[in-house]
Amino acid sequence: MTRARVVDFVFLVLLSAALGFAFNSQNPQGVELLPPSLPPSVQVVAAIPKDAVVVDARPRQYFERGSLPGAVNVPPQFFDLIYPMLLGNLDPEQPVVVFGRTWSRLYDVETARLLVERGHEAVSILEALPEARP
Amino acid sequence: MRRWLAWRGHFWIALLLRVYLGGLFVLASLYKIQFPAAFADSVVEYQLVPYALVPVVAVVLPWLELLAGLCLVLGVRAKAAAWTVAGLLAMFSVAVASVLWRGLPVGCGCFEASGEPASWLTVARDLVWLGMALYVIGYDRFLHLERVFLLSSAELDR
Repeated sequence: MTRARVVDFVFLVLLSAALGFAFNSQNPQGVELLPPSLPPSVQVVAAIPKDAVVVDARPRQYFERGSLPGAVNVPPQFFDLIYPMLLGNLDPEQPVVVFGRTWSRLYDVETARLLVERGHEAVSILEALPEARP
Repeated sequence: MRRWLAWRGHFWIALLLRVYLGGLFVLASLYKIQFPAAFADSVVEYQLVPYALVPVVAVVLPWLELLAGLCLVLGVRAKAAAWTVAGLLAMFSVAVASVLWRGLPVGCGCFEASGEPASWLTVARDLVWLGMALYVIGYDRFLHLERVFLLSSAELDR
């Protein structure tokens, strides 16, 4: 069997990257390459604002392991499905505070973004939550 | 021992395993290539990749699986492809073992997003495949398409 050369590995990786990015840009189910940015109207707060609705943005299996008291579970992946059921009747001026992120995904930023898109005016993100990393 | 190592049957077994592993990797890559968002969710569950790199991994890794698998099946740069497959399997084994160690609720994300949960069986299976990949690296020499259609590196060096 012929020897493996460094150039073989470089070629394999570069070709994978080229094909992957090219295909992703054309794929209707493709992923967004840049991480989500926080809308300017969303504030980062250290404590839960008074009378705020608390939203846990992590996936269901984390929520079920324990969450903040009174929190509702609205992960960004299923936002369109869950939002009308849990938050559909909410006053747009009612404060909403979102939490929940891991090293690999900013669930809180994504859900906050979707809430702003639905017209909520007082959305904030809770920083430094000890239980945010299960 | 020396006679056993020199047995010609190894070459045929290596060819069989090479095609099997290659086909396996092609199969595993197809769903992930088609649904990168679902695969990205699987990558996220492992909590090993920082969030800024998750989309890159989700987009590139399945294509690396596909190309390495195709190279193995066809016998094009087969040794490099076998090392790539072995490296990926070693990485997957460590990743699955680490989520089991940390007790994260994770689907394996091996073939399909909603597939089986990660378990120690998954690790054992990946290690068996890793053993096959190393065997291929050691003994594979038959039926390389690149010998038929392409110049070998020896010929190019000449």
